[in-house]
Amino acid sequence: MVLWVLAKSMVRSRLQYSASHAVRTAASVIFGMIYVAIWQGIGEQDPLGEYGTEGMVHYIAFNQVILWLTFTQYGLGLEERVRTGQIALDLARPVHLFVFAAGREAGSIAYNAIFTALPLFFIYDWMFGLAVPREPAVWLWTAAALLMAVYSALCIGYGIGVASLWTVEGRWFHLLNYSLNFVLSGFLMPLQWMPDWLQAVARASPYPIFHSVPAGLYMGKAGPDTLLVPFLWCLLLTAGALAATKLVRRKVEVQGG
Amino acid sequence: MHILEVKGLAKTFRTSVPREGRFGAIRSLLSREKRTVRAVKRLDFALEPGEFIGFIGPNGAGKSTTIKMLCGILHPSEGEVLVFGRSPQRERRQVARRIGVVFGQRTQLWWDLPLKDSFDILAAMFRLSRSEKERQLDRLNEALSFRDFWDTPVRKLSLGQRMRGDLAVALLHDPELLVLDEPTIGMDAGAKRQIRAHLKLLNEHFGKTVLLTTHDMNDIEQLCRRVIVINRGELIFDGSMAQLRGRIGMPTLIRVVYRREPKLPDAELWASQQRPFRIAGRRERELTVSCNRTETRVLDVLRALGEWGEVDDVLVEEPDFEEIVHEIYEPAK
Amino acid sequence: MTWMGICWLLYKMNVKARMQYRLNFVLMTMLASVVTVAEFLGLAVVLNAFGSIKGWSVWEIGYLYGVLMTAKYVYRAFGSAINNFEPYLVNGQLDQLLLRPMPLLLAVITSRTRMVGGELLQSLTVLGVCIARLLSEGRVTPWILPQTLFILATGTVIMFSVGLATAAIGFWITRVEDLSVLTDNATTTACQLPLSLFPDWLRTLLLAVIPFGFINYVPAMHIVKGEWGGWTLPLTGAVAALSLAAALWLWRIGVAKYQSTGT
Repeated sequence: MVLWVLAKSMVRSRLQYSASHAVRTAASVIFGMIYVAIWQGIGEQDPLGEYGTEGMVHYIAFNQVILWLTFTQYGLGLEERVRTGQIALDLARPVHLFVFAAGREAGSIAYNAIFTALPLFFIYDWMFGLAVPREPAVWLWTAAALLMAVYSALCIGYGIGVASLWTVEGRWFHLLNYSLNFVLSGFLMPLQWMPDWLQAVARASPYPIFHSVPAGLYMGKAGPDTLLVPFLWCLLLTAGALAATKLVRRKVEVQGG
Repeated sequence: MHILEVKGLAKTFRTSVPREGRFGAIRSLLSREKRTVRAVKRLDFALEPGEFIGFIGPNGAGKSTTIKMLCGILHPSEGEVLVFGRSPQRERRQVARRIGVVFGQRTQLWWDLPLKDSFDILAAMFRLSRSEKERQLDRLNEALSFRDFWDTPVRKLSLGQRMRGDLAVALLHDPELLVLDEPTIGMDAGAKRQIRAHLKLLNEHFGKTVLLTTHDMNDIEQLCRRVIVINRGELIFDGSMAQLRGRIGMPTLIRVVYRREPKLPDAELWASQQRPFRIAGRRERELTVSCNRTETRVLDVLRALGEWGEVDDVLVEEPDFEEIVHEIYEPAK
Repeated sequence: MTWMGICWLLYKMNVKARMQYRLNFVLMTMLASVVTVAEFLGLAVVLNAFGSIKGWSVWEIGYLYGVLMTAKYVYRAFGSAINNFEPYLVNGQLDQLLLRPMPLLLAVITSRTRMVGGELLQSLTVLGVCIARLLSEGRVTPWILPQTLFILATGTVIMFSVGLATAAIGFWITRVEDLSVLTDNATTTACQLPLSLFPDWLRTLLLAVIPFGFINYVPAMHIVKGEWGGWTLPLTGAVAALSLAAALWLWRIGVAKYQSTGT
């Protein structure tokens, strides 16, 4: 219930920024087209394994769509709330800080899902013909993967927010996370085609859940066994979030908020 | 030649009003209601060298808009501004060389650097030679004493010190006209007193013409010989301090405490009797009335009040200057 | 002191101000490089797996990348106030700058400097390595060096012009940060690759409307690929000059508009 109310308030505040929203959607389409063009170019001289050129186009398009589901603001806005002192109020509420911060951000994500991801899906379908899977099992596993991706993003964002309370350069973590995500999540290319050592690093990290795993499931190229490691990461990240909250509480009490 | 001349100045803004309602955000994208705001309707005044003028008015009166037009930041919709005979609109940079501007809420100084660096930068911008700069700094230091915190980064200065730095920087190129927009805002009484002393010195000893806008009436009382009052974009008053007081008279509050509940006449009787005072407040046995002492004697008022009951105690107060001036903005009838 | 002297002084002061936060300063340059390296690496991993795209080898694409990014960082170094112009419009900083006895554009540009050492080092390294490789493969002549210097200059001018035009549009719509995502971020990403990859309309956009294509692709078609003639270079120069003129004109009417209607 609380989450619902929080999420709704975020959606309402977002609706005001419609012009900038349209521009960002347009930019997303252009980025998608750029990456698609790369693969179409490569596809002219290489059969592109199990995906094929068309498959890769769909892979990229799908990733562009779901990108908006895992997009979180820097540190879930925690740094700002500490600076203004809001955090003291947040901690006094009967809702756990992580639930509160994640709930708010989830509203933002829901907004993005409905107003950006969904239209983008139709746009990409119109431009490149996104294959829509027929088996309900595929939908189920993809949805599970996406839920885990959203949850992981929230946990990581929360962690970054907490870390930013101790350092001046919290942005460092945010950008580092973005960089690792870009390289290791399989955003541009399925993990299978990476050099072995890089692939090993990626598979051990929490990042594949953001792109490589859901895209693989959606396109029927991978099975639900790929969800195992991400699931473990979700548990780990949750533990991390809980521990982090304790640290926040202690720091705020010491500083006086 | 007047230092500053304002003729028929007017400024109208056209703003868009976002639409209300459920799909307000989307409808706003498609079409917006246009609203015309006349910030300044018509202003005429002139400043002579050496004057110290207070420019006051309630919020939204058009003061900041007028100041911006004087500096060349905004272009007037009608009329003209002449600073030393030049138009700040057409010759912004030349005018900038001859006026010094200080905004109380934003500093011109470089935040992370020591004060002296700001001087160096602005001296370079105004093409001052090193000797000119040093000479001017020495002179300004007599009035503003900033050498003490010369090396301190601006972000570490107190509000009073920063204002002194801003004043020095505004005067570095030795302009004849100094325009100050709320210079004492946010300061405690001690700092304000100090700044006022500096400004007085700058005007009387250095011969600077000063145009000051402020919400603090003490600034006006202690510094200005001439006051311009503006409200709703129009000039309401332009004259000396003495004339300003004369215009409002000497409003006084008289508070009486009765021994027992007083018997006040009912509304009809009250209206029919012409009394030279007004009831300002009432609480149990205490009654407060206001009157204008240039017209009425306190003794007469007390005699009239005594008709309603036995007076136990009397207190006579003068409201502060601020309330006096607000009388001019919004005369209570 | 001349105008150049004043600008140089302001530049030094801005750097000095930044240096006050020494740790911050060092970290910012480092982490900024990390992000751009990551984006390049992401692309490099793809290219590495497949060797070439549409006839453009890794080194040739690296050349495109190096030129583009170097131009971008040089632009950012002195034009960062233009790139992040929205705060000036929203916070009233422009009013302060209008009080200075210098043209507004100059006052805006000199009000902010960005440290680009780390990023510039990265882009120049990529550029250097690719040029060296191309020279060793015998695909290009040593003329590539002065030619590259030339297009770096014109490229910076083009980037600046587009940035200035975007900022000037802010006088009308205020919220230009999002617009610059389109005119700066998206276009830069696109131009890291040869324009022959893209559909016609996008290519036309990047050549005729937001002429980023002239920063690296068009001149590279002559310098590196040898497919187009020498006319590409003077054309690039002309495009740069024209973009600058157009942007300055737009800025001028934007300032006039700001002064008659405020914010």
